[in-house]
Amino acid sequence: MKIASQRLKARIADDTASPQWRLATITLMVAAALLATILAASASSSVTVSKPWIREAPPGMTVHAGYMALVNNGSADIALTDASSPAYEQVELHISKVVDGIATMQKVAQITVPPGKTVTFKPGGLHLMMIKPKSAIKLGQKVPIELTFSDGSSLTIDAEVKKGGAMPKMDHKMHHGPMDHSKMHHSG
Amino acid sequence: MSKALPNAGPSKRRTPASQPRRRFLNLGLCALGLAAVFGATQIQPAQARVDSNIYSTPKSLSEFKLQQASGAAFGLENLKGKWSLIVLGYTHCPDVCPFTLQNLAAVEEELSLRVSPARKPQVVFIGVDPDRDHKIIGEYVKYFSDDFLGATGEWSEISKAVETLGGFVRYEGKDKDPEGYKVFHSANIAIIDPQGRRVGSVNPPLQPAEAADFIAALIAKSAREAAAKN
Repeated sequence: MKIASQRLKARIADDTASPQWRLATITLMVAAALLATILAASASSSVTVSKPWIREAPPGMTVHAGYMALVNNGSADIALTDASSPAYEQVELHISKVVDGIATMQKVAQITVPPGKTVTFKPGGLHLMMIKPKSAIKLGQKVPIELTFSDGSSLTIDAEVKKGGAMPKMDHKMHHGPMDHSKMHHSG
Repeated sequence: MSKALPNAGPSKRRTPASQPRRRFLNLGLCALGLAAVFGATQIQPAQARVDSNIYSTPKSLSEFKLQQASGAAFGLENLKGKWSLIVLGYTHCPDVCPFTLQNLAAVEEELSLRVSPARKPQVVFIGVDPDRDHKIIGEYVKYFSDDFLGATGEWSEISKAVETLGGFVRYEGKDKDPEGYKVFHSANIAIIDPQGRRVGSVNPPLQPAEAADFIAALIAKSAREAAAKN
């Protein structure tokens, strides 16, 4: 009996060391890690970002503008409080406004997105002011931007550098977002 | 009940007599309203979408001396003999100026379909921030269109140009941030006739086709008036 039980233990020990067992363990660990990531992501931010882009700047410009749409999928207000990018020295939240015929631009401390709503950053309005590129920013380049929200969550997005387009015609469905402008430009 | 009747009486009596009149009045007002709406849309199909100003009397511009990127002078004489669209801005403006210039490039393309080359306006970008505009204004405007003309100069001359164009410029926080300061400036695009007179303006954001319709109509009207005088 003793011998038999020892053999059994030995077999169990052998089993844990077997390739199949290792594979199963690794698979489980990976799955757990993935699950943790997904849970963490969904818990950390109720905001999704669509169509982020940066306007290709004319030569010599050291301030660029970034645009996107912020969608709040959660059930409470959430505010974008900060933005940064490894490609720029500084990123600020700004709004352009024409007040009594004067084009003005103001820094904004935060931008609140009510639950279920979308706030669109677009030319002539809200924009990410991308200050002093660390190296030349090229057309087509994807620039990472980290967005920080009022609930402490953050999101990193890749904003593509595009040529800004002209105002689209107001008919059809062409006046939705900043991407439509660039689409207009490329197709036209 | 008995107390209420005397009060109700007179009003009841009045009603049958006045109702047909009111109906006519209402119908009349409706017709007038509809006529006004249709009239307005029929007379000004393009203008309805263009935020613009037209002066009843064109305003003659006074002299200013700026320089183009090439070094050539740019002043009142460069505005004579052709139509011009002039916009104020600065090269370190990340959002509004590039958007306006991109729209103006589209307006320019649309205009070339609507007016003869001789009447097609030149687009002039006046850089009102010479410290930062001076070196790069040429490349800057060419990025938007090869046909665009960029001009800047001494502040004293820029302020003359701004004033005669009816514009406005203010530096924001230049003392605190000598590299990253903002410049607030008039957003509108001045329309200058071939006599060097300010005839009106269009205000961004511009719908290129509608803005081109509006400007082309203005150019055509001016040509008709000039022909009628001669």
